[in-house]
Amino acid sequence: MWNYIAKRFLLIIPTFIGISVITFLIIHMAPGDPSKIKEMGTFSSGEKVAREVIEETRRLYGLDMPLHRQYIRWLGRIVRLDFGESLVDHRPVIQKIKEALPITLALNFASIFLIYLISIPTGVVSAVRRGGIIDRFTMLLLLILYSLPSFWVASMLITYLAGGEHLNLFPVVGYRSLDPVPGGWWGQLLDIVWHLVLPVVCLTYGGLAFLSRFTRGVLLEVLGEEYLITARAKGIPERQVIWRHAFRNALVPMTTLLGTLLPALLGGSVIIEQIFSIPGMGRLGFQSILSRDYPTIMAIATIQALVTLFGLLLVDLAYIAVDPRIRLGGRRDV
Amino acid sequence: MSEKRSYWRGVWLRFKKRPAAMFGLSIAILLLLAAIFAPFIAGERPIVMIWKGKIYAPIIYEPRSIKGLDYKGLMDADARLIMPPIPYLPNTYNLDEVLLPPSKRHPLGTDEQGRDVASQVIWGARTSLVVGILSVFLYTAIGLLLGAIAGYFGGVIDMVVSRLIEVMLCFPSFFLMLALLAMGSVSIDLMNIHIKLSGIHMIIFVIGITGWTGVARLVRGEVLKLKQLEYVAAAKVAGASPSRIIFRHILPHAISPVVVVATFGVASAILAESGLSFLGFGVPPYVPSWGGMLSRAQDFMDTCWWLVVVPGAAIFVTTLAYNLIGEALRDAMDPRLVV
Repeated sequence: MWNYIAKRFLLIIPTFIGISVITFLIIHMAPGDPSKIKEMGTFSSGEKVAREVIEETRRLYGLDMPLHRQYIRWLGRIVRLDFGESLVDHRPVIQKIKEALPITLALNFASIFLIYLISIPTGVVSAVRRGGIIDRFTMLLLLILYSLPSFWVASMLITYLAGGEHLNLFPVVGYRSLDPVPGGWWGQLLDIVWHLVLPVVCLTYGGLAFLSRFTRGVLLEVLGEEYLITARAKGIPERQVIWRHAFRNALVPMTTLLGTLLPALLGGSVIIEQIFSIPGMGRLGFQSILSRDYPTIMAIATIQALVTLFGLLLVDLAYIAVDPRIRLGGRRDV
Repeated sequence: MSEKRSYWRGVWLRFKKRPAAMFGLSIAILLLLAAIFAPFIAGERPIVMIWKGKIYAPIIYEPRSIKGLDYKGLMDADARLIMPPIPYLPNTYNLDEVLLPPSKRHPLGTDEQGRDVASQVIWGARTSLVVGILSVFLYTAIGLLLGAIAGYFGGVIDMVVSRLIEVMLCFPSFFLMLALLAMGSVSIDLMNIHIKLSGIHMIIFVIGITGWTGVARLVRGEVLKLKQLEYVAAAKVAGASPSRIIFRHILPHAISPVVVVATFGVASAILAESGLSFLGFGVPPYVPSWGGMLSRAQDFMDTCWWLVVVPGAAIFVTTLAYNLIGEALRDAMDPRLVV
């Protein structure tokens, strides 16, 4: 087992280098000479910004040095989480991320929690009644939801449920009211929840299909196992067979799925945050792309990639913890 | 050969038993036809025309004698012509007819510059399908190749490919696509070939190079399984080269899950393209696209429902069709497969 864990940790190194090389290369492909910037001037607001971009990038990354020296410098900066200043407002990039991250985390935790809350019972019921009318109907319904483009749904929800032309049930933009709200701490929380209802709905409905189907699939596999026949033969009530004997064993792959959700959890949805004007990671990323704020773009990409790498590692370690085939010395294909 | 045929026959028999799948398939075929024959459905040149006693088909070929004719003006005169059902091009604007609701003249209304919405939807199908299908072709090819060599050769090659997959997985894909598209264009120099990608080709390229990891992982796993089978050993003993073994003996058996992934992939690529166009990073403004239509509709959402409902419904129906086909294929190709 220790052998495997050590190997798994060593494998982080090449992946980490790969991530840093890619971000480094994107910085490099970014406009370096003025003529190129002029060419794509649609997004930068004039010559002044363009020159600033070049100077700032040159200073930050020491573009006059040979390539490998530049790369090592860049690597050193990543390790120290030093991403420089934003080109837009000259604040430290890490500060901007610190402000945006909690908002995205709140939004995405809410939606992932809801996805699990709805999908698990749906998937279990579908698996138990495989091929029946309920199973077929829910799977079709979820596929329909999955196919609905979120930016379309968001536009329609805003038009018809918020803003006042039709119904004025929810606020149109932001994650909280700009004016102070009454009711102290509780009132503020309610205010945020009220603002986040529509965005959370948009983030949630599409994910239901995937997790429900996954739950259904895993459970169907478990339902074919012989120990369930044994459990039934012992006279254990069906409900208990499903939830205690079958579902528990299906939980393992479902928990590890959380690891793969990490990039989405941190990154936030560019489209939804943009439509609802929520100042989270997705919107920060999009705004930095619009204003060609390279230090911020690179910081977001790098941090997200590193956290995901860490998440993948946790998933593998979790497998070791639960899978005796690896724990007891066998090898798993990495 | 006959065994192969009976496998696909079985897939088709199971596939066509599902009404939802057949519904998806017919929508997909209709969309494909609409995309291919867009000029015949929405355009400003007559399909057939009789003028001065001669028959022309201006939509296919305009001889010099009729070039520059004002076909709209001819409609009332003694000339006889059959126009496409929607006699407007997607980019023809008419400032006298802005923001009109659906009517007999404009079956799906007009936008803020008086362009016909129905025509934009038909031509938008072309954009969506070209991007969706070509980008999936691109990443399926990359994934098949990398997955197959990683799975077959193992060792260092597998190590490198697996790390590459992991690196790609770590990046948030939509954000990466946006960052790449923000560069505007990409030049590729491969030996003597020089390609400059921009506009719609850039989108296809970006979706293609960010999307291959799923296929690669799948193929690698399948190849790992298949290469241990005895017939592969037999082929090796018979002196078959690795490329022959991979392409003739292994990949054909690994293809069904790839087909399923690619079908779902077309749906996600169409969603990605329209999302990118919605944000202004997709196809250039002069190319009709559903995402771009929705994006321009943002300012008129309250009053002009058709500008929001029509392109959104087009994206939804297309995505749903491919997802329905993908789901039915998955069940039909391997009835034992449960996920």
